[in-house]
Amino acid sequence: MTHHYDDGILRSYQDEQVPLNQRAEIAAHLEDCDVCQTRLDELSALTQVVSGYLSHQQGALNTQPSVEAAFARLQPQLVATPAFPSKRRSTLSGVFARRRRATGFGVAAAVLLTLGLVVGLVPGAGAAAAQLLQIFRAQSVIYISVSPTRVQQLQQLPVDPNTLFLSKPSRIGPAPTQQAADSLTQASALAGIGAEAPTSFPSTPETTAYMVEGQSAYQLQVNVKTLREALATLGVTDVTIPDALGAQPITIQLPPVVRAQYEGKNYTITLVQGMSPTVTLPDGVNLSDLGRAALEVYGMPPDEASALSRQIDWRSTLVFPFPAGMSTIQQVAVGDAQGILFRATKNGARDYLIYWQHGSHFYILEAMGSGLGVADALSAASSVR
Amino acid sequence: MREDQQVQTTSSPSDSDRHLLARTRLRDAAAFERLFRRYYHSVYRVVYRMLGDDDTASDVAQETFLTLYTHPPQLHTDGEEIRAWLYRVALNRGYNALRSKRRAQARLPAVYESVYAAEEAVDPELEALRAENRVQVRAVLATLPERQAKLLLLRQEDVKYTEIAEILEIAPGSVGTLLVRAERAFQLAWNQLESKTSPPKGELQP
Repeated sequence: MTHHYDDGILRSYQDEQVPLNQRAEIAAHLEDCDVCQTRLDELSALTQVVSGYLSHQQGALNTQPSVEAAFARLQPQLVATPAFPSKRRSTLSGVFARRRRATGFGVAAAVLLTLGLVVGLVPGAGAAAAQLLQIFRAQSVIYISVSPTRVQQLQQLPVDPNTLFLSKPSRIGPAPTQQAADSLTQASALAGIGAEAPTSFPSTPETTAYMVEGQSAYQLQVNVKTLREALATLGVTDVTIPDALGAQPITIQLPPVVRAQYEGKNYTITLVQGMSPTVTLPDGVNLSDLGRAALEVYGMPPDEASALSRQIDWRSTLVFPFPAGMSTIQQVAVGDAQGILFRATKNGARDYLIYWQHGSHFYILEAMGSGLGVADALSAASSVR
Repeated sequence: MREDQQVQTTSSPSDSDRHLLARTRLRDAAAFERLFRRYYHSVYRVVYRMLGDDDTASDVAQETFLTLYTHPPQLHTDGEEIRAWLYRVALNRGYNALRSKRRAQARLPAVYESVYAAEEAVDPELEALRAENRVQVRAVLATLPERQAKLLLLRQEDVKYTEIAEILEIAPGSVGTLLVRAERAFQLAWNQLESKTSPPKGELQP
């Protein structure tokens, strides 16, 4: 025998963790090689001793804890967990998370934005834009690019996030139900909408799952005084904010949404769809005025804002502002609709999020994974018809 | 929805790990519960071996599953992969608990006493010996480099080399070698600790 096996191979052999063909070879070698056989014996003895010590840890393991009790203990924490995927997994899913962030700026700014009065693109236009869906029964969407200068002004707005002009939305009634569905047909029935599916994927999905979230309702209150101050700071002086806006809470009805998830090799595509939420404003509020204020807030000159504002049906139009000149946010065509694309990269995995709307039906498609390109994401979105 | 838009997918069986995980990602509590039931004992066991204490092991196992619920991983195969992920999370948390516990226990003899007191002994002498042993195992594990401690615990659970490699993010071919190294380190640390503390019962037999 000219060669000997090293400890690692012998240890693997001892644990029967070497491939069969190599196993036979080693066995044959051991027959003839006293050196290796002796080392193997030593290694086995060592393992036996160490494993013996470690097995003392077993003690109470003979009486294993009951899974029922353990699950019962965990359950309250599950209920307390927000019903949407975390931002750690996906940089963008948080963008469209319907549960609001615990602290208010992004939320409040977003809600304001849906009223047509964005006061902040902090912490990013995505987060603000995200919230739009909750509060509009939008039939159409206008995308408005906001200049970098304006974005900076909005970010520097001297507004204390904690005492913003909007209260934190509070839920009215029970938490929305979460129900799994076995098929898109079943999910559609549960949600009461004609849910659709993408037909184009980077590769055939290996797993598909559906979840329907039931309807829910929220309300929030506008603080008219601070809102007026913010507008004045931004130089928007030709719009009067009526006291009525703060007189009663604004209510937001969120219809059920269908969430479908497709997983394949190196990608996950999630499609969220539903009817746009409806927003009920207090009596005496002129939506057109608020809309014009919003356009000015986005940086549009007063006369242009006024002209455009008259053409828009503010009851059914979503104004979707996005910062101009950013490679991470751009307008895209999704089939015959206009949409907006957000992109991010995390740990080498791509993350694309596309929002678009057909009539009052909204869609958010998120595509994540290492094997994805923007073309895959757009192609998946366009295949939903 | 139009029927011709239905996607043809090669769905994995409805109780496969991947499927349950996908549903967990959609916050389907029932799917999560199935994963919990499927893997709870494995996770608890490996952590218990490391910590030798039910309360802490239960806590670590709970935290591990809560992480699975709040941050479900992206997996591409069934079975081993999710278990590997759970082990990885549990061992990381367990090792942290082990280290902080060890730091908290300034003097070993004090621990001996508390363990003696806490154990409900059937055969007092044997139980005392076991308890003593458990404390020492924990102490030794805490002195080992993290990867070595984890290797030993995983192998003690009969986890296959390929899976160990995945959990610890090491080359499958190096598992045997690292395992031998870990065992030698364990034995050395054990002997050193023993000579330092001179336990009353003489040589400990496994």
